[in-house]
Amino acid sequence: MRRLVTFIVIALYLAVIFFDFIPSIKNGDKKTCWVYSVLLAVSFCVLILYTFDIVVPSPTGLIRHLVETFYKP
Amino acid sequence: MNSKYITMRQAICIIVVYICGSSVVLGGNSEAGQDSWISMLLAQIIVIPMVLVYARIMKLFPEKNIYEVVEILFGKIIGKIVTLLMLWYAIHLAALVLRNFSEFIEITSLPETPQLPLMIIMILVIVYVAKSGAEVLGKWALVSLFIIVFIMSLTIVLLLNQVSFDNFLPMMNHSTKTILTGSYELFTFPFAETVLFLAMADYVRKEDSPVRIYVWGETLGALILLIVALRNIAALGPAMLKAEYFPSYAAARIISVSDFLARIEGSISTNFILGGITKISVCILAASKGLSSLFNIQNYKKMIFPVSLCVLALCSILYRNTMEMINFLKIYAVYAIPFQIIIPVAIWVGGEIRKSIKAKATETSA
Repeated sequence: MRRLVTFIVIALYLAVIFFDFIPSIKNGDKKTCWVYSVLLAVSFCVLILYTFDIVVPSPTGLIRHLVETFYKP
Repeated sequence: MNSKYITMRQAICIIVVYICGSSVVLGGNSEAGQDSWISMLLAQIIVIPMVLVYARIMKLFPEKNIYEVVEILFGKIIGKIVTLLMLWYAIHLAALVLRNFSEFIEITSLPETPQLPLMIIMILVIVYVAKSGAEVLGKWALVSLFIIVFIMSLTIVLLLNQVSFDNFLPMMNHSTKTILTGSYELFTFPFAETVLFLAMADYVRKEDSPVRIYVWGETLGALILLIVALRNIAALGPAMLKAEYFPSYAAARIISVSDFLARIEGSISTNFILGGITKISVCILAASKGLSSLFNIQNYKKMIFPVSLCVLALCSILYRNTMEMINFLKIYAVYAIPFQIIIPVAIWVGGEIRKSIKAKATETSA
């Protein structure tokens, strides 16, 4: 099941690169290309780590810590 | 034919479906038990001033979205910081709602299916809606609202033989603090989340009244949620209401008419999907516009896919389990304050000061 989910993630990213990323950067807009690439890379890394059951730190913990500094629900 | 603008009716429908979003299935605050309908009414009253602030911002800066407004008011550097904060809020909220959806599907229908493929399917539909533009989103919201109201009405009629008005008693059994806390939590989730609609303010014509859009949207949305809350209390009772993660689903599950009409709780899933798609689409549109404003990218539609994939990645790592998701609601009530109250009030005050300075300058020159 894990391999299937990993395959789905990789297939999704390949489809996004082929059908959306490449047409978007064809007009040579460097800024769009960079922003798109960075977001694609970061999200891909997080998702691949998730599919391999590697725990990625969640912002929920940081937010909870920040809120509980001022107010304990 | 896609025009840039949405009609007032479409804007109202977007806000109504946005408010219903996940709340129509998650239900209102259940800590107050049989008094949660009172919390809902109070929440609607306390959100009105905030909604008027949002509408006033749209009135002061017609056909400009919140990112353009903060740059006009606060300059480039502070404007970019505020844009980054609102961008983060939009992405985080989209991830929260998407996670609500996948948890709901896992608990109610597909416990053996991994959540990630469910999230991917949902996000692909949302990307399609978002890329189609605001006018398509408006038309989609119009149709969704009709279906949501129809399904809600159907469940109420079919539950008439199961409800007990004794479930509302004893009234005001909970302390004032519990009821007020419930009202505040409803204020932050979902009413004041309509702050993100300010990112779509450039789709609203300056001739259309933002006050009418916001007040009608909030009132109709609150009315739907109030009816849902009343139905859930009457059907489930306070004990089951507190025990269930998804009270609307639980209420629909007990529908049974003459032994031939039962198991129609799938209709509640329909409401969640329709509301969820609209809510997440608005959040992703807001985030894409924020990102394009931050990096001065002309066409925000190019950012929809990367933003959606970031939402997907964030959604998968947000919580370890459903309990964490439910417990986060209490933290969210405080965490949302800067995005729903502080930043909009600062923008409003800045806008009023700018308007009065301009008026004085006009008087002086005249």
